[in-house]
Amino acid sequence: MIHFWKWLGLSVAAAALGYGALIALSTLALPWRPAHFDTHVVNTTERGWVNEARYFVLNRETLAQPGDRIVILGASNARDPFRPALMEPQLPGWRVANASLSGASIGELADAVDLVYLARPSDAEGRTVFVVSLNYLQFLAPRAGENPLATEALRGGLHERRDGRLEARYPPEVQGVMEAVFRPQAVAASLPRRTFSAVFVNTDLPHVKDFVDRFRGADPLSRWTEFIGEQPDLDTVTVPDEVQQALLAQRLTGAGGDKALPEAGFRQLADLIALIRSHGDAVVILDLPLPEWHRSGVPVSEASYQQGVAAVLAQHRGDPSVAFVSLKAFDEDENFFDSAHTEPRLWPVLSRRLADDLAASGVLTAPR
Amino acid sequence: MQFTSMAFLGFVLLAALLAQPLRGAWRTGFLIALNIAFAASFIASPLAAVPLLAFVLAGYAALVLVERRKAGHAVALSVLVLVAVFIWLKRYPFVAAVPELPFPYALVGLSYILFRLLHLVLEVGDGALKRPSFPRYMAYLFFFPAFLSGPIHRYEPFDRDLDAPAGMDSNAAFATLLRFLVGFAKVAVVGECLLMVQELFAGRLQGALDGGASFPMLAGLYAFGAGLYLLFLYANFSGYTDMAIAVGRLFGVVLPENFNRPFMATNFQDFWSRWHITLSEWFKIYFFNPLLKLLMGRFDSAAAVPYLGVFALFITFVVLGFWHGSSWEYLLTGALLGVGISINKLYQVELTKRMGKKPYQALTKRPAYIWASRGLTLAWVSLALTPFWIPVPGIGALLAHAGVGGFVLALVLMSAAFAIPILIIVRSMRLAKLDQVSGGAIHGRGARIAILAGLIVLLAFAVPLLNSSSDFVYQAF
Repeated sequence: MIHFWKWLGLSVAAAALGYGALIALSTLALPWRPAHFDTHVVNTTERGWVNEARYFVLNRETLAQPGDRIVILGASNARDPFRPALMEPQLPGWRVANASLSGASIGELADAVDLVYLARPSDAEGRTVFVVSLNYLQFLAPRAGENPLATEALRGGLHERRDGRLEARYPPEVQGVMEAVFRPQAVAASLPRRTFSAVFVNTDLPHVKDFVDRFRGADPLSRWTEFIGEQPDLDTVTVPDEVQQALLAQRLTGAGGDKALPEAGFRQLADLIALIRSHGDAVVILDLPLPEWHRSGVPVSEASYQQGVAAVLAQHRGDPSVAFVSLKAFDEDENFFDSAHTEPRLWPVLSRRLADDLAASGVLTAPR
Repeated sequence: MQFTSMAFLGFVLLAALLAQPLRGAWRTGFLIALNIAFAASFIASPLAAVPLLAFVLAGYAALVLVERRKAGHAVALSVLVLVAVFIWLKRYPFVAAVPELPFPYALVGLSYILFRLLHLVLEVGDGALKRPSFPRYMAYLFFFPAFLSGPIHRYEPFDRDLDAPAGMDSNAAFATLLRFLVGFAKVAVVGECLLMVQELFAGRLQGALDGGASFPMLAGLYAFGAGLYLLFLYANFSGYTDMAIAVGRLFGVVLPENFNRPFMATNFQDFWSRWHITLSEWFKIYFFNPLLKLLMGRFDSAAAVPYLGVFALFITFVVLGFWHGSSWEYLLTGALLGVGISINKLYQVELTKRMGKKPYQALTKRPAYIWASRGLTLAWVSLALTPFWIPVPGIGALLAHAGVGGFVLALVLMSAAFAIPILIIVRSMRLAKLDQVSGGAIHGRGARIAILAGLIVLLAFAVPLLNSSSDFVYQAF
């Protein structure tokens, strides 16, 4: 048996060296610590992260650094328009992070807040203002199973779920080392997608793309997504009436019709606000714009959403650390290139508007 | 405590270290403690373990009975009672009317315990084996590396290894560690990747079925889904077996092999002598042979013997299929396996009769025949395993849409999709002379460390990346 221990010891030592080299190499592909925490980069400049959830989990230490910070949470319609670099000059002394995650539901946003607090020591200096970007879509009944953020957080046993909340399995210092250990995988995980995009979605290879396109879904959303993916300039895209109707019909089918939203989502929102307040931090509920044709197409869900949010906010009336900001003024149809996403030309406007509204809301100066 | 978990790795390494100096009763006792700890990790509460323990105690009582009364009826009665209790505990559909226990209970490892138990009862009853002491019985029945899904080891070699654990020189130690890591990679990396692709095909197949796709499209998607499932099952199960054999070796117990390049099988019987070998052997010794003997006793005609063999094979595989699970899906698997193997056997009997033995043997040695037969064998086994990944109503819908044409096309496609790549791999390996290379052929210390370290890095890299659940499919049987 002594031989077995010898082989095991030598091979584990050699493997540790090899893996260390991979960690070092991964820093060439991905910045060790981002200057701005911004999940937008995952789809633009830093594709090595494969998805926003992985970026979030492996970079959230940035959100735990001392200092006053605004953390924008939401889905992809909050990820793109709110640019930290545009907002910071209007908010002196505050760092802005956009931590939005594609398709995030209210449950995933709650997980995101859990993960921020798990990374941040309870005695950390500075205050965090969470901007929770919402519309009715965040409150639709979630799909079964874990959301992408939780999948990443649970990966490799870094965290576990206890009583519905994410909890770290290791002390923060060990957790940091473990997260570094997972970086090479983050690079590797992006390779299949990058290869796929480079070959099969490449418009310079029309025959390959045509072949792949045959296997795409023929539903209105897939076809419209494919169409806008081919447009060089999204600012010029308008959604035709028949596409509006088809997209709306598909959404309604997916949601089981236009109906009142489940209560559970609003309870999660209330718990989320309570958790943030228990840490002495502040919350801004941001009502995101939605095209008029979309909002008017789901009157029951929309009314249920407005009432639910209002009821939750009513519990915090008089609390200067809880505020509500609406961007409904941007609901005009021509501002959107699909059923929920604003056109890029509006992003600087929306960023500055949000910064102004935050400054005016009083949450930045409210006592803890 | 899944084999691919960190907890299991820690458990095995610590236990192997502690077991090293132990001999005799201490060693047996320690193995029993390990077995209990491992089995307990799959059982929710002490109450849930009661039926399993009662079954094992009843098994020992049966051993005492058959040892004292070596009469055939004592053995038959013991076997009947044990199998009946097993069927009742597993809640097979035909015992649905019989009341069940009023609490949830554990079934983990029960199927494999039954095989080992029947082996003991039959051998002790036959006088071929002395009844083991109760501690040795427990150490054998629950031996933790083989507890979940075998291999189904015989008692005699285990008994020998219990007294004199098999030692390990440097080469054996390297081979053991290499085998464990390769098994781990088969389960958690290769198997998981294959399953991901298989699930893609299964999803597309369902979509095509819902969308009323043409029968060639359905046949194509099904063929790849079914073929990939067989590959996944092989990676999963043979990987688990590699790990089980390696872990057994760490405790000085040599477990039997369970796979021997099954994708090189040239016909159904050959396949079953290469796939889940210990199960096939068990069924051959304790089911097929007695059944054939019984049939031959009833039909005393030399001309009927080959056909009785065909019938006995069919029944054996139906039972084998049903053993996999207590639902009608698995009966269908068994029936399909039985049809495949009995048609194959019948074909051999008839062709030998018509062509003569030598011309038939010459035919079976032709490369085109071998590769066509290999492809068809693997295709049919894949087809028989369909209920493992499509529920019976789904299979019905598939048959209704694709029709006989789709079914035949799927078989042809699968046969080609197995035979052609295997042919290319075999020829390439032969050309590169890689077919003679094995783990034992790697002698350099540096090369050995590089291979082991490479596998460890691969696993450390890929397992969290794939988020492998890495459950063993056969654990559920």
